[in-house]
Amino acid sequence: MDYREARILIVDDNEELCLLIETILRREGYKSLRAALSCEEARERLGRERADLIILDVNFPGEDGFTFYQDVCRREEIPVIFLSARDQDEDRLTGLGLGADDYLTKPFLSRELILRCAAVLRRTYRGREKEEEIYQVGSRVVNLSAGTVGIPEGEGMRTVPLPNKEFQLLKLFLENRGRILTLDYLAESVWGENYYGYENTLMVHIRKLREKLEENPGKPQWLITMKGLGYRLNK
Amino acid sequence: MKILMKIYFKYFAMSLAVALLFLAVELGITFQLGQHWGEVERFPVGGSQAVGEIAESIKLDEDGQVCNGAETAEAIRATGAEWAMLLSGEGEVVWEENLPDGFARRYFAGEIAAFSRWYLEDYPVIVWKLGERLFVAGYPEGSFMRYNSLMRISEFHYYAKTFFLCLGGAALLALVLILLMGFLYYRKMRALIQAIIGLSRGEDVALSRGESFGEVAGYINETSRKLKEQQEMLKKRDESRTEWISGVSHDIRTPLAIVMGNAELIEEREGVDAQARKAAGMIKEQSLRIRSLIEDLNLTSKLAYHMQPLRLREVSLAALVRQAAAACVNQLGSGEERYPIEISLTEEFQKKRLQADGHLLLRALENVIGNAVRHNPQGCRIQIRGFLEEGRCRIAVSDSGRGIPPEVAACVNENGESTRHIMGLRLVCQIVQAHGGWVRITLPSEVLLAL
Repeated sequence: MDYREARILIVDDNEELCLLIETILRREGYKSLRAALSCEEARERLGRERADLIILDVNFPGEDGFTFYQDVCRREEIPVIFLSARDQDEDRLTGLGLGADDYLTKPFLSRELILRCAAVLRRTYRGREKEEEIYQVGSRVVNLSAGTVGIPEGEGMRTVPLPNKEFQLLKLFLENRGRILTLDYLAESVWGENYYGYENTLMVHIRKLREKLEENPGKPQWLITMKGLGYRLNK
Repeated sequence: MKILMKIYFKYFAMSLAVALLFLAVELGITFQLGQHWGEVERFPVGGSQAVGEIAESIKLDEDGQVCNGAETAEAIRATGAEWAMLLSGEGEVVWEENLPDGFARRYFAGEIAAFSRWYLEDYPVIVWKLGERLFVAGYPEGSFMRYNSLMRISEFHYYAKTFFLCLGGAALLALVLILLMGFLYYRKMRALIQAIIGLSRGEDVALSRGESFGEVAGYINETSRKLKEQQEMLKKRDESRTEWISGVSHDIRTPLAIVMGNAELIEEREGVDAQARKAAGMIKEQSLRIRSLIEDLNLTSKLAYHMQPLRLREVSLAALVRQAAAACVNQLGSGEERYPIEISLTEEFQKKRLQADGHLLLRALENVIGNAVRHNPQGCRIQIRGFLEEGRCRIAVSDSGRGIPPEVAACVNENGESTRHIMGLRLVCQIVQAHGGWVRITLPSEVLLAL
């Protein structure tokens, strides 16, 4: 499935905001965009045509977004991103606790909304489409679906399998490309909460990853060390 | 109830002190009287001993007549005597001096026995035995008192013993009474003290008014009621203030989203001239700043009115420091080279774990590091140090930029409620204080967090 073909329903009582979100997503290539100014209108629309993703506000004059989600979206298994001005932890936890796919607070950066929409669509429909996740890191080709790194060799490509920990680490780096991931975050993601003492092991895995990703692992260009902080996979 | 025991012991000590003071005063008076008794002029002058000495100095001739009558008379008058006489063994007056008219010149044994113990014709007398003779000195009526008493030795012992026993018993009774009265007041006071302690803790107090402190209990109950009313009013006011801030920030968010989103669209739209693009970029940046301020305002009002729950769990401050620094670098994007961050964390600091709200502490650290970036647009070197001091964690964030204004440092260091533009730092202080720590600023530009 091309995510840009996804039917997205924007439900917010502010017409201008609906229009803005439509513009942002349309510019990103999404074609099928609909807006509803209330939960009642959204219910009506969903009765007529199915949506692949709903961007849903929480506060409405009548029925609120949480109730609508429980009543309609969960039953019909439509992925939902709550987009609300309610920024309290309790609201966030309520939304995510109900089973929503994401919770974004207003005001938001358009890039953030686009990335979150793409992430939810990818997560939801990836299994159905069996699309391969392939990334380019310099001259290397990373196939996360296969768990391999392709290294150019002569005319062809030598495929090197990624051991489990290296795979987990590389997946994190690719999902957060261009961002610094701290030592603690990496270690906790791979070894769980009791990660203390794994820092040296982490360094060993990073070194091995560099051997696969870098032309010259001694002078890394892609997977670089941020002294005292962690590592970053450059874009 | 330590305070009550203190009061009780103070009361006991004071009562005991008063009792001992009275005893000391009594003893002092007795001592003074004794001294006075020893020092006052005796009457007869020189006492009975002087009369005895005069009597012993009487010289008698062979016929038993007094030879030195004049000297004796003069000497006895000097003692204050009004008259004097010498009786022979048969009771006859053999010498006399100024003996009043009507006085017998012969006394029988019964008369002698009577006046030697009491009075002779209302004259108090002092007698002195001279061999078989008796020297009698008479003093003016009412000049001194004669009193003789007879008592069995066993009775004397009994009275003496009883006196001292009664004295000891009275002292013991006084002690018991002091203790008992103290205890009774202790019991009554306990309820009052408990109520006052309850008031200080903000608890509701309702004392029974039937006790002897009924009036005081009434005042305490009234105070409790008024305090409760005030607390409820304050709580209501704080809640409405927080709700108002929360409501305003909520209402601002949607229009701000539209402003920010449209600014982004203009900034990224192709064909827009550079000036408009720059202006749109500025609108976006300032909108982000407003978003951050709204978040700070919300949190600071909740922390100020104790409406922000702390979600405590074991956290590593070292991990939070790295996370905050990484978030700062990630936000800087291409500008990261202008703000090199140097982190030095000691081994002990890295091992240290705290029970804390990691989310809030991260927010505080992000604010401090973010301040260094925001207030130094020309760029600066940021240094973050983590170490332990006296067993507590210290995080020092400094930069090579233009420094922190002294008035801001003074405001933070004195925990002032400044309304100037230091909401971010105020929030940092509130978060750290909510964790039992403190924040200090050492000039020119180091913010020290103690947790």
